[in-house]
Amino acid sequence: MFGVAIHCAPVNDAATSRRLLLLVPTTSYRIGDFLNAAERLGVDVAVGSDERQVLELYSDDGTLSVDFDDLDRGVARIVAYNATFQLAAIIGVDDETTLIAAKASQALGLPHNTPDSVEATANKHRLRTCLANSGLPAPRFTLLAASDDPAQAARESFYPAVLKPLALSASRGVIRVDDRAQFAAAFRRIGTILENAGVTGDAARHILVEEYVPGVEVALEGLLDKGCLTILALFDKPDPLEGPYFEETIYVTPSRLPEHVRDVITATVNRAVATLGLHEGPIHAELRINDEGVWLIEVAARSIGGLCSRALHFGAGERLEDLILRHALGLPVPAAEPERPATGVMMIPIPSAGILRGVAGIEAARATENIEDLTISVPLGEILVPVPEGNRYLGFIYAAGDTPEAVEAALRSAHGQLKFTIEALLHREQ
Amino acid sequence: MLAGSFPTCRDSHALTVFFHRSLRSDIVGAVSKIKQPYLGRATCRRGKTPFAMFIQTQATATPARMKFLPGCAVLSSGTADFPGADSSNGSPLAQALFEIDGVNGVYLDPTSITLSKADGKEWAELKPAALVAIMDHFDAGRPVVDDGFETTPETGLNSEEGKAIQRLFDEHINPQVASHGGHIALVDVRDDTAYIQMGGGCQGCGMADVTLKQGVAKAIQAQVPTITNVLDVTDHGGGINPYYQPGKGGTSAL
Repeated sequence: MFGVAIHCAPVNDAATSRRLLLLVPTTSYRIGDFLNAAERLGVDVAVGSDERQVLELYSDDGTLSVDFDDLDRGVARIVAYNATFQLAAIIGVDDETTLIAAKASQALGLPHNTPDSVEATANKHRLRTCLANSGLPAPRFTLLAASDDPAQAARESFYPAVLKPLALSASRGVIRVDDRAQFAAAFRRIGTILENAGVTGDAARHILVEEYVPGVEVALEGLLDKGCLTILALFDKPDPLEGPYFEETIYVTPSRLPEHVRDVITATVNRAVATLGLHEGPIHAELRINDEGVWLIEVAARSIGGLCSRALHFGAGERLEDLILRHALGLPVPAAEPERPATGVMMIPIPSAGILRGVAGIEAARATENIEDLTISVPLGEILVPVPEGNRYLGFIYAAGDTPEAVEAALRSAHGQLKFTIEALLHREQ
Repeated sequence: MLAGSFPTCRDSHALTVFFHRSLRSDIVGAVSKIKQPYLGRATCRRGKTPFAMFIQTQATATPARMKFLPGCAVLSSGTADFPGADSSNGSPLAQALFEIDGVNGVYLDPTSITLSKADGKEWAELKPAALVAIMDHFDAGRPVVDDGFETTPETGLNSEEGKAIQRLFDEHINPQVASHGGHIALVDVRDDTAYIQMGGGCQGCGMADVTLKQGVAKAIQAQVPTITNVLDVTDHGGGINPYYQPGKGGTSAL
């Protein structure tokens, strides 16, 4: 399945003559890349967001405010908008918007995943429950109320385990525990994280406990078309993710795993999405591989987060977002052949809490062989919060080369050139 | 919406009235009732050589300004801005135009004459008078500017397009983005491209692309249709107080 051209629907002029609605929270990294893709494809696009856009008056109705928290109200807003500007497709760009995109698409009869299938991927406990009978290797798991007694829960738990919120993204609130003391501390800490993150509903009241799965981790980027999965990229994560926190760093594609392992990964993801009922649009999956097999850790009905998609270049200048938009609009999707033999991205980790005062070495890092770009995404003066409380990266480094090894080396070398000045908050308070 | 709040260039229409100079006074009376922009035609002369002159008018982004395109060279190069009658020394054409009651600004460039009108005056009254003044001026073979007059070198920012975009920013865009602590500057205009730079809350904002593509670009293109590209030259990584920051939040809708 790797690098295979996916089904190309016939050109549909009607699709491009109608508007595409992108649903994006104001905290997203992703909107620029999607708007650029829409521009490349000549697609009339509107942006729906949870806040009124500052220049909405001048947008020619190209922006609209949508309540992402009240799904019924949000869907009604989109349906009303469609009465004036007929929509060809709705894309939920981030975790926060995939479900409302599915519900609105269902209301308007547009091709999309069912809301139930999307909802299952957006809630880690529901995902585990849905996959429990799929026959896929799965860790033990149990759902605890956030109000449970941590000491009691620790006594009854298995070890090592990973405690997770049900809905936060980017490894926020994900903590490995190896004993009762760690469990109780992590349990309390996640409770505080949930409160501070403003999580509401079921996700605010529960914490998922999963058996820790050792092994190497990979991320898979795919596109579903009528249930048929095309693998767009399989990323190795060469830095060990063993806890206690799980901050992402380097992604490199193509994977250096043996072909037979990659085949099992593909089969695992295929089975998972079929079980969940996902059949249209992008998916992003994370898996672990060990001697016992391939374990699906998560799958989401969206594309890769952050600015990581910029590491992917397909033939004829196509980017990941171009393929997603083409698929959503029923336009022909070209063969997803990578443009470079190997590419990668490093999400620059936050080394310590504090205030970012300076970043040195950017030009030297950019000048590193095989480095394509470097973006610092946190403004100077901002307070840096590492995982598990935080969910941001300092920035992104992109590399391309002839081999995955060369790309990984370039990313590490470039990162080594960067020097961050971070003023400790404790020192500041003194 | 913008198009409803002030006229756009797309609202302009080709001039509809052609007339000979000998019929001018009759036509001036007639065209004063015409709401659409219009074209004047006259037999003019360069020096003593008669030639036909077609003057086209064009609405601008600002209702108080109207562009007149005589179809012949106005300035050989550069621009000249006369914000009031007192400043019109050195330009016989500007002086003639300031004699029209209600004209309070004249801007010249190589191809056009842009007039500003006083509050309370209507273009329906001013346009015929301006046409006559322009035709008389060229017909008499008088210079647009005196010998030795130094025009301002033409740059993107003081081109008519640049000025129109700047007014759009000053009067409409920046008052809006100021509510987010932001501001947007016009850096340059070259050919069909406007270069802009975001600052304050717009610099590094997670929604900067939406502000640019769904707001600034659409507003510019509605008001200055000759601008087909709007490029953001902001170093968004250097933003120190972006209004929306990526990665803050990140919770599922559930």
